[in-house]
Amino acid sequence: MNPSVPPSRRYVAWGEPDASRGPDAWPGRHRSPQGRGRQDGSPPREPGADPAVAQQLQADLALLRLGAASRRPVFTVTGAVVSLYLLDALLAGAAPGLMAMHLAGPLNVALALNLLQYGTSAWAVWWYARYGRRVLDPQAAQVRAWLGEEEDTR
Amino acid sequence: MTAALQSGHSAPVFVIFAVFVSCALFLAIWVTTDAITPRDFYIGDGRLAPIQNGIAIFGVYLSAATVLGTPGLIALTGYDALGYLKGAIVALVVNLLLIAGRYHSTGHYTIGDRLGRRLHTRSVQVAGGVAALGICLVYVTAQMVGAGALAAPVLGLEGPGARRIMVVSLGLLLILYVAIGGMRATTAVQVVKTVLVLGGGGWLSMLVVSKIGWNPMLLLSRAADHSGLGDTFLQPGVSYGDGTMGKLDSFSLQLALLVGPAVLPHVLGRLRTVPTARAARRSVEVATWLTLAFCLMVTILGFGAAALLGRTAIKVNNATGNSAVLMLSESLGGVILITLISCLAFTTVLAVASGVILTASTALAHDIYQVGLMKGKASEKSELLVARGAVVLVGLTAIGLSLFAQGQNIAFLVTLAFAVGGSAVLPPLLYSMYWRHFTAKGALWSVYGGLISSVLLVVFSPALSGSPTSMLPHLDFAAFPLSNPAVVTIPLGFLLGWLGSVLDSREPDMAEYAEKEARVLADVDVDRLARSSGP
Repeated sequence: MNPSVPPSRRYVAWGEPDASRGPDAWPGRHRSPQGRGRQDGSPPREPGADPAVAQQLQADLALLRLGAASRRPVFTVTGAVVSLYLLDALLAGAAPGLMAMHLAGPLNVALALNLLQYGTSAWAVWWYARYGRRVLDPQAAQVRAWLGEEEDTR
Repeated sequence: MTAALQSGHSAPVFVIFAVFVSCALFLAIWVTTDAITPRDFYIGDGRLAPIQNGIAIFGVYLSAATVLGTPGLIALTGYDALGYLKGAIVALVVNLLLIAGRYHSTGHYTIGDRLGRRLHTRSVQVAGGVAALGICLVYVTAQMVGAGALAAPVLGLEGPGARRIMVVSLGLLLILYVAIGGMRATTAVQVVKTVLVLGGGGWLSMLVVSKIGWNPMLLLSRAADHSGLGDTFLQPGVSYGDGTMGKLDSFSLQLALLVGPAVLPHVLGRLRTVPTARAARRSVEVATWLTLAFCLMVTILGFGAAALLGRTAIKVNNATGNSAVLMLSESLGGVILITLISCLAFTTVLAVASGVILTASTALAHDIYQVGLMKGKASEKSELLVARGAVVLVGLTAIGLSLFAQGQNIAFLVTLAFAVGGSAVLPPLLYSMYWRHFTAKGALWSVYGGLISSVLLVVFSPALSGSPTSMLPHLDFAAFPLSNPAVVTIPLGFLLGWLGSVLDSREPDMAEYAEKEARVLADVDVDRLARSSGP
């Protein structure tokens, strides 16, 4: 936790800091006593000493981690499944000879790729369910706990 | 054998179906409460269990064309038709991994809500509504034409008159059902459909496999032998030949089959019927497992039909192969099974079309009437009235259009729906979820650009005119060489979304994006945070 982070940088975790919106970028939660103190003209307090700010920074870090976790691995797996599908579609047009090659009995490369597609799809679904349970859901719950919020059930 | 199909079994089918219809209507009235709100009507108050919703997503996802048409197509063209099944599976995987959770977190009722709330622009919400309405109208028309085609093999009524009676009566039933029951009633019929499809299809494919001797290799080689095509039956190329355009067209179709189903508005609409983003992900997960099982079943049925009946017999009975499953169930299971399969066909049409009509009416009443025309000031009561009116309007339009298109080759309708979905809905949806520089201008450009280019390219494609297999074979105004425009329009939709955002003079609101992203990730209600944070 770096106490020198200016308030305007805090809640813009994924974008550049937005000066026009200033410290109100994330609605409400960060209005710590420290902010009001400065409006009164009283000297700013050490942010690390303020439990509200500390908690907010914890939540930020957790949000950053969750943001990264919800993108990269998920994009990689989606990319793999979709690439296999497109490769299959391309090969069917471009290399019919290869697709017709026999592997075992009536099973040829085209049908084997088809089976592989079913297999990778099933694996991706299984992986994502597990990944959600083990990584995404606990991290989201942690962020909600830091923020003191309930799961949205609208 | 067709004589038996046409007369012998129509009476039990009809009686069972009549009982089913009365039960369905009773259910619709029973599940509807007096004090119904638009939220009830659109998403069943968002209180469904994820398993139930997953079963219903499967129910609305797989149309009659997939349930009855694809096994027939596999029996006729072998390997090439397997692409339809692969597309259905991979599209759901894409929906699950990239869309489901995030769509739930910031969606409200519609695709228009999803885009409009992120970008704070009414015109974007209306654009989303127009795209969804267009896709739904085209899709439901295709379903109704398919329902007419069921009249002959299932009810034993031949001729255009029977088809019209079938379409009109089924269409009126649908309108009544959806207008009364809304989301709760469509959920009920979709769950029933899933049980029938998986039960009936599972039974039939078990019969096929046991007949072959539980050996998948034997199933394949027998199918290849009896198809009359030999080894080429199990290789790509039977349906589109050797030409470069044929290959490109086939690739374009594969692309449409991948991205179109991933963003079908009636599937996205169902994501909001569960309380949390976690539950939305779980629903799509359940739906994907069911779809995987179903696609394996359909593969067995298709190759089984080729192996046990022979390709020529199927083609003689019905050139499109639509009756292959009915023929198979008659030869393997007799009266009970064919009655079950017929009921399954009707329920499928009812389940899919009711979901689509409901989604269309939601887009019309919520995006276009409430947000677009009334600027969000219409009362709940009037919005609900408009939603029910929209059900009648959309239903009657679909009936009218499908009567016009009855008996014609309407393959281009589904192509069009998928192309519009892939080029006008998927790009803005993905950009709004993952790209912080996305702006309202980019959204408008990609929605309208994708919509207009898809419609124009399909109108001037060989699917509509200029070839013996087109819908209007006597006219020729085809200027675009491909029947499937997806390979052009999908990149165009993404390009326009990017270009519009880059050229937009207004800066995207980064801080706002960060807030929305935080809300999506943690699945908390940012609006509530904002409200409770006042000084």
